[in-house]
Amino acid sequence: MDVPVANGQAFLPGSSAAHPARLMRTASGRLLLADESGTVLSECAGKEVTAEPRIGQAESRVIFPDGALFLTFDHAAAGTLAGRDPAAGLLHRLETFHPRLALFALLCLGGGWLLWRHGLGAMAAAAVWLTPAPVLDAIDTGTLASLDLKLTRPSGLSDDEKDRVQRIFRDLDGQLQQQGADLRLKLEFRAMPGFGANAFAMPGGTIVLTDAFVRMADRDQIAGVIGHEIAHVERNHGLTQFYRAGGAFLMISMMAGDTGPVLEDLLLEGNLLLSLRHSRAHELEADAFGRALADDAGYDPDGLLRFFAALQAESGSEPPAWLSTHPAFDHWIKALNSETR
Amino acid sequence: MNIQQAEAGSAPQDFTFRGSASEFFGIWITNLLLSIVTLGIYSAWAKVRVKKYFYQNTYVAGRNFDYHATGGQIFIGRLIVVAGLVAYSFLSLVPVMGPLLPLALIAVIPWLIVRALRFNARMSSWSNVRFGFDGSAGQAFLVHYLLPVATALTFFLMWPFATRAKQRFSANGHRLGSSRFSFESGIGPFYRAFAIAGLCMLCLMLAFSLAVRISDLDIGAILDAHITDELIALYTVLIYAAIFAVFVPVGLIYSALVRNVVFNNTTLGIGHRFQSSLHAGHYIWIILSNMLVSLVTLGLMLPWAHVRMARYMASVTTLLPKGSLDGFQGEIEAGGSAIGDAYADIEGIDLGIAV
Repeated sequence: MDVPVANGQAFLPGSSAAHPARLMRTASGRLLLADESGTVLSECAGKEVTAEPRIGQAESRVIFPDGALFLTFDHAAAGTLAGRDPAAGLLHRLETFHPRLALFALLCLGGGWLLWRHGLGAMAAAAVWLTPAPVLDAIDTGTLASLDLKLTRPSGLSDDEKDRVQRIFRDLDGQLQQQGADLRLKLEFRAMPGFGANAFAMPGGTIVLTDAFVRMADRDQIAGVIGHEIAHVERNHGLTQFYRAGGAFLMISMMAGDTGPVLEDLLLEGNLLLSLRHSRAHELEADAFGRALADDAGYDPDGLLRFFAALQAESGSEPPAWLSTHPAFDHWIKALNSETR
Repeated sequence: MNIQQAEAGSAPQDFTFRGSASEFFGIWITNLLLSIVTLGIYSAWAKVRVKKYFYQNTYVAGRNFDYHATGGQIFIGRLIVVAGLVAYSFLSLVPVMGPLLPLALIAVIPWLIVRALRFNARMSSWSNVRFGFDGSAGQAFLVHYLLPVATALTFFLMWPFATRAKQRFSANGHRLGSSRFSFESGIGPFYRAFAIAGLCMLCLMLAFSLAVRISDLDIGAILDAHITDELIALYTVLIYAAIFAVFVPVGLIYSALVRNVVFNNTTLGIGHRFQSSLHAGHYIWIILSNMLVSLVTLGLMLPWAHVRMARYMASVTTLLPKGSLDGFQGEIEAGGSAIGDAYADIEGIDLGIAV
């Protein structure tokens, strides 16, 4: 009778000593682990043994109930003896190097693209929804504090100038509340040397206007720009971008596993930069929203457009990007114009 | 080695890695496909399979390592951590909890670090004997919080002391079965590594600023145009370039030198020793070329990069046994939970072990 025997190494429970050994089956169906001299190291009924699923060409591992371990390169014999479930080898067979893997690679690239394109957006939206208001307030307070430390100075605007802007702001906020949105918005004035006429919004609803902007803009322009910034808050643009960048990084490191020391950092920064691409779509969305809100609140809807035109005329031929995330003016004004038509 | 050691059967034993890039590619791409199809759930099982592959293919003295955690353990650990993070953000809604919660998290992190180290040690074995880790959360607090602060306060001059303390914490906390690892070294080699890294930083910074000088014309043109946004963008790019051209290589040089010091001064049990001859230049070359090849191939060459790295790291590591390697004894270790490990995974905590 052809009885399969597997040759390999045996380890007794809790010991590092390696014994050359053989795994075999007795006539009564019991499994025996015996060393070279025939001494039985461990034995058990055939079904009590655990045969671990194979990985690559590494040794097959068979574990006895008492903890004795048997390692062998006789994969087939070990599988037969230990009664390994054929299904357990399926993964190993899928993984062996074969043209099929090229198809796997294509599917992975396609699936990865789908997740990046659609899954990330859904994930970011869920995360935005889960973020509690106090966390948003903390983000605003922290961001403003660090800006005040490095880039801004207290506003040099007179109370009259501030009042004029606050009235426009209240008009827009009131209009927004009539439409059913409650955003807890807050207006801040700062002098920001080097930033020119500028405005930006933070996730928690803090909107910052530079002195240069307030001084150069008329009431319709101010309404358009504040409407634009309110859109960023209302649509959670900033937070969405942050979660997209973090989510993409988490997704890559979860799916592809460890990416190596330097590549990991590069991916984190790269995803933050990539999320800027997304912000262009957000800017256009905010323009449309700001225009409509200004219009609803009784201001000239073309104020925003005139503001960009004025800004471009001032800065000369080469259109800079507004705070690095805004589309170039030409493109922007075209988009606004097409919106108007 | 000398005659006495040869008689005791104590010839130096090189670490070897026997895996191949093509074989690991199959495992990795199958993992990736199953992870994508299951929307990430399979990634816990995938992690185990990858670890098993690398452990089982790493041999020293003819015996390999193994990794014993199950995908289920990793998955449950991740679920608990995600639930904890969600609970954290909702608890912060309670006004009183606002300032308390970050403090609680800071207090819990050293505990999580120790749990992660203990879990990973218990789930790893060599020659049928499991590793273990006995470091305390107090020590973790010292090396992960207090020493970095002290380092910053001394203009980083104390950095070598902080590095040595961190390596002591991790090396001396580990054991193989009942045999302890023991790392002891004077501070000299650490300051030597620090000085070499510092010197390299100086040279690289000089080269970098020279390179920026050469392209001075462009900066001048931008300055003339008074366009502040572009200046900001330019500075951002310059800062990133500086990080990747100067600080990344210097960090790698330092960690390579530290690894050699740690391995060369560590004993195990009855006096087995280690030897590491990691070459900083070669190490950086492998990491940077791995990165470039992986990026260009949209990640498809990552498995090749991993295998190449594992092969190199094994090839520069040697065990100098003192007598037989059959004498390690381990108790049958109980499972333990993967919470710490999962937290370190998700938050990307660098455990800072010179492996």
